[in-house]
Amino acid sequence: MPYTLSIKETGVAVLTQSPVFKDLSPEALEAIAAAVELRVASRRTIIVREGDPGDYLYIIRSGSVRVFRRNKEGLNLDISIKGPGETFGEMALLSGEPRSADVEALGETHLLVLPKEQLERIMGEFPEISRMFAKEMRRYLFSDEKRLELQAREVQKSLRTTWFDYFLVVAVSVVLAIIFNFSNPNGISFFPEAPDRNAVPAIGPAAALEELRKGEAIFLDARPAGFYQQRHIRGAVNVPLSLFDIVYLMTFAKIDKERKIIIYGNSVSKPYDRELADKLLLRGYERLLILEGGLTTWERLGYPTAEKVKE
Amino acid sequence: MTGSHLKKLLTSKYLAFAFRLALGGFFIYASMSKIPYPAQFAEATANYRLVPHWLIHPVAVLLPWLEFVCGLFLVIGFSSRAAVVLIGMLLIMFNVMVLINIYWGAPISCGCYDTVGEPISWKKILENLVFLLFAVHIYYFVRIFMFHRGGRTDPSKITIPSRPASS
Repeated sequence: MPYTLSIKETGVAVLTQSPVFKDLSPEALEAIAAAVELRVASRRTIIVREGDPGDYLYIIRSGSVRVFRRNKEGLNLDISIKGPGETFGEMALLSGEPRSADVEALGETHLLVLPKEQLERIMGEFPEISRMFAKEMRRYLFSDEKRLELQAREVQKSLRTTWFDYFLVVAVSVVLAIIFNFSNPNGISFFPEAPDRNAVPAIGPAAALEELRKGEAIFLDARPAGFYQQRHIRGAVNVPLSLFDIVYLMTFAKIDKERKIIIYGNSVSKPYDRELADKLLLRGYERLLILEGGLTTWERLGYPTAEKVKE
Repeated sequence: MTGSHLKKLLTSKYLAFAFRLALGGFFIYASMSKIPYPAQFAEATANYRLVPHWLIHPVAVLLPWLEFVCGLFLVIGFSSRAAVVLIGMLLIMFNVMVLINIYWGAPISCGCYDTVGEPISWKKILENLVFLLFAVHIYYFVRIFMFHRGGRTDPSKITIPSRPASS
């Protein structure tokens, strides 16, 4: 019968190309090829349904299928895509359990189909086929393990803190700070106007020392009290900016506005000297001078300093 | 107590939660006295003589709010890990600033909670280091009572790639 022969020939051709069957002996291949039937599944046909009894082994001749499982919520979970030369349906067949997944044809798919009884008969004849299936199962196990690993890595990655988290924390802070500062009666301007550099002339340390010797000028230390108490130019008076109004009332009101006043105290964070000079300018003092280099240069030159003298 | 008990206690998620409350609460408390009075905090910051003049006001306005938001996020468990990393960086920064000023012998107060406040001292350094340890513990063991975990996606929504074709 030429028709039967052509099926068998087709079968052998497919099986020798198949990564699963290719290592079998020619006799075993022929025995399988002689027992298969040809079948065509059109696109979207469900070939195998989960829960059905396993009655056939399928070998893909051409086309491809999707193996998937439906979860409780009715969502489809893809397990694998299989193409020419690959098999499906062997698991239920070998274990005797019902089908464990659905299989759907992705396009028109040509299949070789081997009934259960035929497979069992041939396996009895050719034990190498059992070994082949054992290898196939082992491959499934490995690829599932790999999938699990991949999934675990994804979960881990998802827990990692992202730049967005940092951005979120900082952005919320900035927005709240700006809004609150705007409505706060004690709010401050972000970029305060720095006192004019040229409003008050400067005096070099040497000239200032001369003034100190003559005793005509008053030296003002504009830094906070703690710094003044630690060390200051000998004879200087402390006028901390934050306490300006009180100190001014207590001591300055009676100072002659014609007297020369030398102000010092500056740091990277705050030009205490120039801010104090501004305030004094407003009160009508005109003979103001700012000590160049401040206390740092003064000390380096070895000019006289003092620590807080208890009054 | 055996070693495994001790290990269990030290890596406990409940301990991480307790630390979260302590550290977060501390940062919220510290921010509260500074937020309403930015000018005083600017003064305290300027005393450290480490922040450039043009940055003093922005820092004085933003830093207390950053402390507050980090503390709050830490306590409620919203992107806690990001918050605790920021807190850790703040603590390290504070400690460096205090250390430098102790080295200089600067007669300044901490400015940590109050504008008047305690003078800077080794006690402060130690306190910050303890809080830094809290922060490290939280980073590694924060797990429970989280409002929003942060990170990329909800782990339950991860799609698993299908099995590669067996060949």
